[in-house]
Amino acid sequence: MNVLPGFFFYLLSAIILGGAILTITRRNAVHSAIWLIVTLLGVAGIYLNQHAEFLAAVQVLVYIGGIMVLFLFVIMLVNLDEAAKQRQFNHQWTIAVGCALALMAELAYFIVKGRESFRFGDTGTGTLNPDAAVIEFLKSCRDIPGLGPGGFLQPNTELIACALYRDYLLPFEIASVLLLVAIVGAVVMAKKEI
Amino acid sequence: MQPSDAIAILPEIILTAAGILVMLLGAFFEKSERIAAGATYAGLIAAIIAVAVQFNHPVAAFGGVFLADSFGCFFRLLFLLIALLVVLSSSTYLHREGLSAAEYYALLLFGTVGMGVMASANELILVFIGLEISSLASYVLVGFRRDVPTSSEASLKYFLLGSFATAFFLYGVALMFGSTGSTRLTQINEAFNTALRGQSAGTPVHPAAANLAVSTQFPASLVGVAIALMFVGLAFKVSAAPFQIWTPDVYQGAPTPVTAFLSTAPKAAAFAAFLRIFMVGLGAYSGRWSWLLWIVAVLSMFLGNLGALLQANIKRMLAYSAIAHAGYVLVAFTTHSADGVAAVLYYLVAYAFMNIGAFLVVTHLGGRGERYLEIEDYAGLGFRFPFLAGMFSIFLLSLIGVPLTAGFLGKFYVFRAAIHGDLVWLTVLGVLNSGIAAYYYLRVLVSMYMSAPAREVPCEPLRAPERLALAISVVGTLYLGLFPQNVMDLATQAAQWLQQAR
Amino acid sequence: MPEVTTAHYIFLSTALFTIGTIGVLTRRNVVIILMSIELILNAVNINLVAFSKQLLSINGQAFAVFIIVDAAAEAAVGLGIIIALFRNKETINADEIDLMKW
Repeated sequence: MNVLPGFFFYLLSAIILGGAILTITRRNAVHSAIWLIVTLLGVAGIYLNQHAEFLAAVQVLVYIGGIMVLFLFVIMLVNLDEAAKQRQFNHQWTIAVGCALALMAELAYFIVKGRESFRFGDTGTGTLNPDAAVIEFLKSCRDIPGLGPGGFLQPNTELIACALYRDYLLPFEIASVLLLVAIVGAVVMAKKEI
Repeated sequence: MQPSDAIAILPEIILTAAGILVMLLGAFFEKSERIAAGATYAGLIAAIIAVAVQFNHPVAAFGGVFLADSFGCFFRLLFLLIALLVVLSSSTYLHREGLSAAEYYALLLFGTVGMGVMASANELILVFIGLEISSLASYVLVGFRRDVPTSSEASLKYFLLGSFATAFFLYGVALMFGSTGSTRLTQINEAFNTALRGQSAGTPVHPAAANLAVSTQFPASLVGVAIALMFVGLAFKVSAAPFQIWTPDVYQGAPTPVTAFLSTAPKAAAFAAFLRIFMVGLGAYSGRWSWLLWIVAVLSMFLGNLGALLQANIKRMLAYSAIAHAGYVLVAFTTHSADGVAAVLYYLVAYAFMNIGAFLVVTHLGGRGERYLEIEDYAGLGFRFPFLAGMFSIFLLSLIGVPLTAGFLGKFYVFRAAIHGDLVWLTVLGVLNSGIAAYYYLRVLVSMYMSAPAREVPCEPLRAPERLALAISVVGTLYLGLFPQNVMDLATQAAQWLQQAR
Repeated sequence: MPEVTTAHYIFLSTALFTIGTIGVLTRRNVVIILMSIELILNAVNINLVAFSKQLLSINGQAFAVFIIVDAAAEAAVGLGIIIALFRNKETINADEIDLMKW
């Protein structure tokens, strides 16, 4: 039995959760941002561990390279030295932590109750095919023998492209309106003079 | 993509194109306000025609992701109408406050695109994208008076709580995907039916088990969590208690025409998504969520009406009343019957007319910089501006639910559906709340007609676009109160379509 | 070492979700609140990818792409709003945003 995926899972989980806790407890917002980047890298590792290579690349390029840089820019723009010297948590923090932990306990309880249904497909027995039409489509593009070994969703990028341009064509197109709204909105809000 | 797909989303294409055009016009013309407004009207009217044509020709576009059915078209017409009224009532306001018209109209149009997508989406991903488009546009519109601290504050509050609620919704959607293997509403429904049939036969199966080599159980416990999380996200968007905390602050801080927009269009869109997800997707599990709706409906009515009693600011009062009205709509939703859905649709249309009308008067009387927003400022209005006061009275009477107005028939249909659905207690509490609500609306009416002005409130004459918007709102309010049949027929048709879709 | 099942990934996601929620509810600095919301969105994505693998359906990963797009859009608008507020009020503490009360 291959122990490496398990080992990496626990290692990455430790990085993710440690990074997340440090993100929400640091006094200085720049430190928070750096720890958030560590967490995001850990999540990218989790994607790789599950053979979702495309998402891992997007995570690094868009999330860390784009969104986090934006965060750092804003932290520099709004002078946070003052904020770093002040109280960091609001007055209701004990109640808030209590509520959140109760929520987690509840979620965990239901997941434990339902965990029988969470086993991966039998990873030893070769090609399991969720959608024959996708494979047909892929074969028409290039000569691909079928799903990769172990029932992993391979070739990952091609399959995602297929989903995005076939099943989710409309959401994909409409997402451009979302980005347009975001551009207009960010300019309207942040610019000194319109 | 086929030609029929393009026709199904033609209204959204027109609106997006109009929005881009409006921004370009704003960039290239020095005095762009009138031109931008003209392009916006043209886009909205073209989109209204495009939807009206589709109304009787339901199609499933993009492989069933987008349903241009009568339910979706009903809501899209409503959003377009609201957008038109809001644009009509904003032009003077934008000029007075010195705000850039082009971006304002463009964001309004894009927001309407997002809502149209939400109302017709048969796919949780599309619901989410539409929700985000309309939410992001709303956040920016709320903060559009960029030099006013209250406006930025309202925007930030709305943004933080709104994204938090969206994150909850998404977590619910992810768990729903995990437990049913699909994000398509009709497929989720099928999965539930298969699972329930399997349960009664003694072998609960995972709906995706056909694709897998392993035998797995249906994770019924996860479905409960998923429903709860999605419920929280959507209840936030319709500003139902106990997720209503943001509403008064955001409605008060936003520019008044935007408040009119927020209290009607995005709320109706959230109800459209709410109805479609819960009636179509989760219809098989109605036992698990109808009691949640019951509690939320009662809380919204009480918190909204009792909160409104204490307000001195008219926008805040109307914000609390918006929470209460969401409660009435939820009463009809709790029945989860075709009757109830039709009542929801009718109520949302009626509420749109009367609320936009009321906010239009508030916008106009607010004056430059929105200085006159206290209820005291309305003292003696009946003597000084009889016409405006008369209009405002009609809208307030309709919000109370006085016979011959839209509000009365809206409440009548809601409570009739609740009685037919054996929700006697809910009906009693709802009628009780209508009584409480009458008090704070009447307080404004009494102050308008029976007390002397506290301070001098200037008031400019109404401009043509505002007159038109006011006329449409009044005619709509009275028409829906006197001749409900046409709109009710459409609402019933839409509701039945939703029932069939299961 | 026991086999890593989907349930493990869901537990990881739940923990991350909880940490994000605690961050949103307790921090005063709005930039960090925004970062906590990013944590929750990542928890959603971990869920989606795990389910995607379990169900052998690529749709979960496609959904995750949309969530990343949304996170980018939300961050842009949110940070714009924070800058606008900072210009007006010179503060980014959530509990000093209190011009309107009850």
